[in-house]
Amino acid sequence: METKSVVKISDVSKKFRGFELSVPKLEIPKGYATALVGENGAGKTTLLNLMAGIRLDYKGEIRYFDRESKLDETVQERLGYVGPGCYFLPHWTAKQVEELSGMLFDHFHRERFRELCEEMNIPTGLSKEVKNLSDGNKVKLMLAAVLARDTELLLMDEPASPLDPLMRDKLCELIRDYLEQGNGEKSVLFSTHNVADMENVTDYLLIMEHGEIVEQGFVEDLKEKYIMVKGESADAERAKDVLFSMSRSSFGFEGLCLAEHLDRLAGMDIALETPTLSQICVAVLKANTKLTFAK
Amino acid sequence: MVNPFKSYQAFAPFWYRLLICFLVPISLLVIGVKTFLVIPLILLPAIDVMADYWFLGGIQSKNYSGSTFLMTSARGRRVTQSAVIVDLIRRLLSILTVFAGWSVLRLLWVEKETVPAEELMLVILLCYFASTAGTVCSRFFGNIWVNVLAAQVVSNGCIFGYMLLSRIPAALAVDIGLGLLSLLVSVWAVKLATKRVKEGYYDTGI
Repeated sequence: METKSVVKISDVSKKFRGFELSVPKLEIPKGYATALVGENGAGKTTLLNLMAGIRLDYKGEIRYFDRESKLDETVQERLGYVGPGCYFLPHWTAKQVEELSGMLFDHFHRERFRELCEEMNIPTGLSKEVKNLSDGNKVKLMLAAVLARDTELLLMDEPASPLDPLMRDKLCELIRDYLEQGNGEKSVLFSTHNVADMENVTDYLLIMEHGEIVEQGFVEDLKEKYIMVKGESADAERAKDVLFSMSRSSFGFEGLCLAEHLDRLAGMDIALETPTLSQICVAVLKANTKLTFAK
Repeated sequence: MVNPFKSYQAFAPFWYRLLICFLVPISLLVIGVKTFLVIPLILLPAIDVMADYWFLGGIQSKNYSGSTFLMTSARGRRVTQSAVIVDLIRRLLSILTVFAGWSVLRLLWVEKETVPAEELMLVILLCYFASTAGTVCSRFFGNIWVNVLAAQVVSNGCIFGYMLLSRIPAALAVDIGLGLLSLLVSVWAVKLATKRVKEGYYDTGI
């Protein structure tokens, strides 16, 4: 599939004490929703912060949009960022968020912001202080502020984590609407641990481990690249070397296998299934993790 | 275009503006007229320093919460800068309202005479300097108790400063010196507040 990219990253690295983010080459496809998945501390937030322009101390190059511009005022106008934790001042009310957004960004629509606050049922309308909002409602307020702007790329750092299941569904709907309105010109990149909940909105997947991208691709391609294999306990030892990751029980084994390695399982009594996005993520992460699992 | 007054409004909650811009100066003006000049000199900078916690409390600390949103826009620094400058002007106007107002009201209705201009200037500059220096120091911490402590130090400092400086015969020189210090601490206030937003982009803290 030939696609344009909305962000191009070349040789980006960022060092912390005991951690290094290293992304030699990465292109975020334009017009799609990209999910960034990884263990805690894998570097997802750092990568998103670099792309959002709220961290500038890194080596390498990040270019945005068609003209491959560097981060400047025009690019920042077209970028929307939803971050975790202390994003707004604790005493701000939704009204102040509205006022500030109008001042900070050229294309902020107050009416749209109010509609979104109502649509997402942010409690007590515009008068409640941010510090008195639940984590979920803080995320909703950030989403309302960012979606009320005319942006072309949304960067969201774990937006689904504090949200209830219903609001996660709503978030997926908002992302879909955003992409549809853009007619291929708008893109979304979000990090998540809730792969299953966000699967129906994910077009492209990035998996990060230890500061590096270890797997990436369009979801359909990844679901062809990997196959879920289930088999009898008797074959478990033979299958172990072929499977990407394996879990065993008294009934048998199951694990993810690269489609190109399927022939190595010939002769075994196995069932094949298309893996879910969550199964692909877990298998790839398990293959790269420093966590130890029971054999 | 960054509107300085809207920037200020964005940082200052409504009740804070109501209290600090109107209720406190007017109340202290009335109290001052009914009692002594030193009462507002003790209370005004102390209230300013304490209330600053709800305005820009902790903006100079390394983990200032709230700067992320500002950092996503190229105008974040200018908005912060405008808010700090408007606050400094508001502070000076509050002080002028209380002490110049005190002087005029005393002259008109109470004693038919007032303190000499140099002494009035000393009180105004001392109050502004102490209040601004106190808020700048407390903004390194995002903790209400630090603001309470700073308020205590500032009010004591104002009294001792007044007692000490009002005895110096060269009153004009003292006023000029205090004026320069006030200017310096104002520039320092603006620089430090915007520096935090700028340095948020990098690992280094202040």
